[in-house]
Amino acid sequence: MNCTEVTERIAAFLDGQVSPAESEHIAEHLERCTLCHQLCDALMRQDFQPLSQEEKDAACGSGGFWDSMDASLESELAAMQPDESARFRRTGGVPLSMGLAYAAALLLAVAWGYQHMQRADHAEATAKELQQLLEQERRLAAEPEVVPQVPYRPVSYTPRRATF
Amino acid sequence: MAASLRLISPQQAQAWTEDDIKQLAVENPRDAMEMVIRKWRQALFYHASYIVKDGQEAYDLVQEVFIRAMREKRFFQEGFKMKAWLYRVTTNLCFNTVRNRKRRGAILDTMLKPEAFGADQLEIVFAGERRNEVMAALEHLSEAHREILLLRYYDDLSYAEIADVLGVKLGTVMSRLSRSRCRLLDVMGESPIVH
Repeated sequence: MNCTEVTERIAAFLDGQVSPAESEHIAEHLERCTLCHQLCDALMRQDFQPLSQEEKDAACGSGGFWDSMDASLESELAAMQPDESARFRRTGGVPLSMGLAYAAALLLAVAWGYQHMQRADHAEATAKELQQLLEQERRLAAEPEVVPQVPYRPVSYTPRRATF
Repeated sequence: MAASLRLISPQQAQAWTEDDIKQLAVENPRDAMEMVIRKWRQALFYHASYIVKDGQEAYDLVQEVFIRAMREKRFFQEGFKMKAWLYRVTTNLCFNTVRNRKRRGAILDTMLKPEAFGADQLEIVFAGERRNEVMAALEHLSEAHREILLLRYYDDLSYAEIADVLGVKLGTVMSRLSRSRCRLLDVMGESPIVH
């Protein structure tokens, strides 16, 4: 690790937030780099002195400190209160938009069904017609139509006079 | 506020996790929001106080943050980070207030003014010479540096929480925190590196 990399991680190193491997690398660098070592020492002396919980509680934990805020937020909180009657209405009835959607879906289903029925009727009629034709063909194949026999009658041909 | 939750102390509220509050919100969003207020208002108040240096203003800002939270539709949704959102909104509102104040020129010096606090007991926030010195030095840092130092060393947020608040990666938190601390050393004249 070089000085720049160590400087970038020095706070996390002091806070114990770097990985053990990285911490080892930083420690090694600090041992051999005087400048980074001095910087680390200076940062360790930095004392932010945050307030303790006791100090915070002493300042605003009692004595009606939050009463004013409670009163101000009360109306906003009231708006969040679940309305029992509204809840009942929601569960008991169907919202208008949902009702319309159901009605449209139902209409589409009926139209589709009617169209399907028409097609089925038409197909049935066509099938019946074809069946009849097939029957007729079969009948004809089984009993071919009898052609009436005309008796042979020799034809005499006598050229007329002066034909040639 | 509801009588049932009035009996809950801030210490008891601390034991509630974000998931517990979200579960409560499924049945009763009002009680859940009250729990949020009880759990975080003190911490947010001090966070705001550190930035705006005025107790009354910090108080009003925190109140505004909770009103915004109540209007935030995603607040109780799964995956929503309540604490990070509260700190982010508080920080933004506070820095906006400070910027507006500077723009107006109402307060030209950045030194602390304990007498400006709304309640006398709030003087304790910046009591002590050394604490005062550090807080004054923080004023000379950029907003980004001041913000991250406050979140880490005054509000005691973890690195991961800070990353959520700032919307940056963990590595960025580490490097920014290091740079902020080095800059603070410079400002206080304690840096071993002579520029």
